[in-house]
Amino acid sequence: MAFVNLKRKEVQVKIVYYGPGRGGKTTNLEYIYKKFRQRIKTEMVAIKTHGDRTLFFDFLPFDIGKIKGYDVKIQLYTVPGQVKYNATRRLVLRGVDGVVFVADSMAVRREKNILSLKNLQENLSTYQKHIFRIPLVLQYNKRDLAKQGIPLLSLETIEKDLNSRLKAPSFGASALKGTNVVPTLKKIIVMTMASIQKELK
Amino acid sequence: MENNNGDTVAGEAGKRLDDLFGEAAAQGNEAPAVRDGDGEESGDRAESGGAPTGDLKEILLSMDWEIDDRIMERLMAEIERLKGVFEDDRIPLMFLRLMGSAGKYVKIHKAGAHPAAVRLLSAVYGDLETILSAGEMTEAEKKRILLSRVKEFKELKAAIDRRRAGSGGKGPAPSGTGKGAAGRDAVGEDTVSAPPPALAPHEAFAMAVEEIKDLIRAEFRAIRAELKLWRDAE
Repeated sequence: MAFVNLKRKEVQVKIVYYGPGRGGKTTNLEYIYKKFRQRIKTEMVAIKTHGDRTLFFDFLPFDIGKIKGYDVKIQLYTVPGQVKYNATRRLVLRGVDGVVFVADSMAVRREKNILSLKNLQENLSTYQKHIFRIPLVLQYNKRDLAKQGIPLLSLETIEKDLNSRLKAPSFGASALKGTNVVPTLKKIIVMTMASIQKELK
Repeated sequence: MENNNGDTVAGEAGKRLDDLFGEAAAQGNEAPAVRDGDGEESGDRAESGGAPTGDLKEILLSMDWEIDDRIMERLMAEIERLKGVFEDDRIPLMFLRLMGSAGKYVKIHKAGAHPAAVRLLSAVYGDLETILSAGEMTEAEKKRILLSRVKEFKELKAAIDRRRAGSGGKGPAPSGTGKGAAGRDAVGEDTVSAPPPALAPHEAFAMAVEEIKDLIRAEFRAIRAELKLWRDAE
């Protein structure tokens, strides 16, 4: 449940970008930060290893203004995708309101996507959250690699692998080039706001 | 954040985001979605205008051609999935429980099931589709439809019991009726009856105890659900 400060009329919405390692979660946030830095007027926090991998999490907060008289503050987080950091992933998921699952479109990453989605389901369940109920958007990243001759999973295959039961909104994307980064973000925010409104009723 | 007028928070959030990120679209950085957001307005993919029950409809239509193990497994699995989806939405959940109970009976008896049971499955699905797609239907109307189906279900169970008594009593009636099909999962007579012969006596006993516990829990759930319906209707 989002943090709602009735006195200050403020709502904090936590959205987590989840997915396998090197799938492009941080790149999503970096694109948003670089592209809209002037507008969102906040700093992005990233804690990386020497190999430029996310060690703890990335954090990008920004305001979207007033909705129904409440100041809405969006907080975007990523989790470290590497398998060994599950405790951190679980920790970052605490209090999550919406999830963007960033899948890697490369054919060789097929199994990693599936395992990561399963891991998301398990970690959500530790907070009594259900993957079928939480606002969720799937993003099939790295579609641009097809032009370089790298074998990619077809959108149909990846959709079947990950989304045949979830039936969540999904986008093919290139976080590096910015394709569908913003539509993904808009979608998850709108879904999450609707979900919060429903919970507050 | 309370919604006191017709505008939704989601709609307003969408406008704010268009103001904030509008430039991205203008620069051609949007590609069509693979699956667009049925869930956009609700935040719950389950409640998006009838779409979540699409697979259920397909399965029920295929039952017109053949009722076999595969199709019945699919039906039960889809009902279970939808129960999770509509966990917090009482009336659709009760329709699904009703379908689960009737489905379990048909799964056991297949083509030998009472013909009214298969018809009832389709009818309950039709009602479910109606209440999910009818935006302006009041809760009272939905309850009226639900109660009418529950009544029909109870009549079916009685008819099956009569038929069974007449033929020497083989096979169970749908288990979701009794104290109220609407609030009860498909556990019951058909699972509490004789344990599999291969089990050791102590295992069979332990299993029977567990099944009886499940049955009691299911009965209590049914009673609670029916009391709630009754209170809400007053």
